[in-house]
Amino acid sequence: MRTNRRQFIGGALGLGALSAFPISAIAQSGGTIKIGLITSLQGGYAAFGQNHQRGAQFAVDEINAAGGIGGKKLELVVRDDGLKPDIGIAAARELAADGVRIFTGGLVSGVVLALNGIMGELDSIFVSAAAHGNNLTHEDFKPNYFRVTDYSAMRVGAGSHLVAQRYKDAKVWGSIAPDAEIGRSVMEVVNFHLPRAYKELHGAEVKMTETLWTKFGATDYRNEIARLMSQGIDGLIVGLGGADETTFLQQAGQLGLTKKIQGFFTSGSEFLGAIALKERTPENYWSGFHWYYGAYPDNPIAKRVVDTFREKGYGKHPDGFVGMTHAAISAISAALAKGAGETSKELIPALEGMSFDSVKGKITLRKEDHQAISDVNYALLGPAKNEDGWEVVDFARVDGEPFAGAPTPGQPLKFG
Amino acid sequence: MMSLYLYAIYNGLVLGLAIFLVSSGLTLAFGIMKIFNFAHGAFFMVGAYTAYALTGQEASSLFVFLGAALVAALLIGFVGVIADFAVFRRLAGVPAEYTLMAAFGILLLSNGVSKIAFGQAVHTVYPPEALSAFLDVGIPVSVYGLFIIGAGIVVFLALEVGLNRLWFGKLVLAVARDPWMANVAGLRVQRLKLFSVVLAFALAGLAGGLLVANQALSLDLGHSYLLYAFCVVIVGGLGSIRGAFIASILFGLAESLNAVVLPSLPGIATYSLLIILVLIRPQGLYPELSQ
Repeated sequence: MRTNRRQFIGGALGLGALSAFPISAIAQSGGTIKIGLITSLQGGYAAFGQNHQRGAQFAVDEINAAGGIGGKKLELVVRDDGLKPDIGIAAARELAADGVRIFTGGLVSGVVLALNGIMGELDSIFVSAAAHGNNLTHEDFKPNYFRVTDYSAMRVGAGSHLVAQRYKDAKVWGSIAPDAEIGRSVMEVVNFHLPRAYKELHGAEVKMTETLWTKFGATDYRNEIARLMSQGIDGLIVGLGGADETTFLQQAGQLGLTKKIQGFFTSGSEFLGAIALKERTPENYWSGFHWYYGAYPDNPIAKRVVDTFREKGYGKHPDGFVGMTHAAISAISAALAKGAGETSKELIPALEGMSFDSVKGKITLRKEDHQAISDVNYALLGPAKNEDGWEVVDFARVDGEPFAGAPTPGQPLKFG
Repeated sequence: MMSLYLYAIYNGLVLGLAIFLVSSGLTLAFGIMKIFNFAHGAFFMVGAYTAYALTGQEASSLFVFLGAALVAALLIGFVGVIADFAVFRRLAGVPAEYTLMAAFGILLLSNGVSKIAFGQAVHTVYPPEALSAFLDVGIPVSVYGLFIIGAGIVVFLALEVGLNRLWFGKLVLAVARDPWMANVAGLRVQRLKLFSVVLAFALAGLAGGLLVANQALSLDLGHSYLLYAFCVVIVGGLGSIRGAFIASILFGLAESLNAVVLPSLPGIATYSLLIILVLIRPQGLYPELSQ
């Protein structure tokens, strides 16, 4: 019997349908729970995104090596958001079509904000491991969103308190920040907390000079640096991040600003600036961390992550992005281990108010706004005559709760 | 306050000439190939990474610094040869949109290869000792800044004189303005186009090598300058070296003075200037005859 073309196509389609359906069904029910990691793997923030991927993979490997969750293995599926909300959304939709209901990652607040908007529609949850915007757990709060790391209000509030403690005599503070939501958010917190910290700790008034706003991706901060030098500042708040922060520090060092001031802090580039600047790292440079591993020498989870990072040859210093996706997977697995299924209806109540063990010790996800209540970490970085060219001179582990503010989901964070 | 304005003017000149160093190759590529080479920013970045790979964080001497920039120019020029044979020459007879898409493809390829070859870390590079000093003339004038101004002027003069006064430059311009007639007149059109492509690419590599110490080095570096470069090519007059030179200085000064005059509105001067100049002179400051 000859097979004509129509029969062949019909048969092939039928065979395809029969073979594809059971494979897909087996994949979902049989063995794996897929977790989508959406982060930024391009441009000046790519190093952070790469570490997001590493930390999540470490946690997945640990859980799978211990037998998985309820007999199911975890599988990490990674997508790049290209630092763009539309690409992030396309990635989430693509993964959701493949059965993914649990997402983590999220480097940039703008991308996370867009992803949060579709999580309800996808019956999914997003457990964010970096995005810092105050709005995400306040005015733009969505019930399908959780954040396992600190956020701008906590980080910058704690940083303001820290520098007020360490630099008693610094009475005039300057600031430079990107003209974007994150920059405005950082400065709102600083302008509230820094004068208050000086008042409380030293009974002193502190002067905040006019903030210098810059655009993202600038190659030249020399005019801003000259202006800061003319303001007679004693201390400086740097709200820039990634390669922008490194460019600023490079040029500020060349023009002598970093030597002229007593101290300065940046909220979130971790080791990035010191790794780039090497022996030219300024001596009075407090860098904010999602997690500074040296602050947790007795934490077995932190120790395991540090050891794995080094064994795999990724370097000597895992940053907070490694730690926070590890924490996100730990939170998700703790919720699943409690018996929650993969749907958002089951995961949301399981995660709300939950405390779990992480690289930073116990983290609690606040029930009302899904914000992590945890420590805030800073490290004082400086130049060194060693292989790296820099070292951690000192660090601070500040209780973040007093700076977290009251939970006000759906309402903007209020200061004062 | 006066010294802040003076410093902004000096700094604007440095930025302007840095923009010209990047945009000169883009302008040339447009003048000859009639396309916006989207990959230009990526090749500028690869040039910078190449120089960093050769010198490390600080070049041991001015000679090594310049040598590394030259190697970067040669390497990217060689990439230009490959790009011409593999892509641009094959698309010579098809509408310009295809070449534009191909250039975008080269950009994606270059970004991907750079990520694999150079990693994702951010680096800082410092000028060699001979260029690292500051002159105190009321404002802190960096010798490296003066070097960038000088390098920009040298490249401008070389291109201006080379294209308009030397016989070889005139042949290149003849091909750019009417390739069919140039072919009829017996000129080796493909070879002259290849030379132009290589020169345009090499200029991107050279700019990368010379400007590597001006800011942090990351995979974003190309984007930072490419937007300025496109503005400059449009405002200068598509394909005009002289127009690009003047436009670069205008944009550099506008961007720099923006930080002093309107510090709460960063970047607004660049876009305002672009809109105003395009409205006033839609044909560009020095419209290139071949357009």
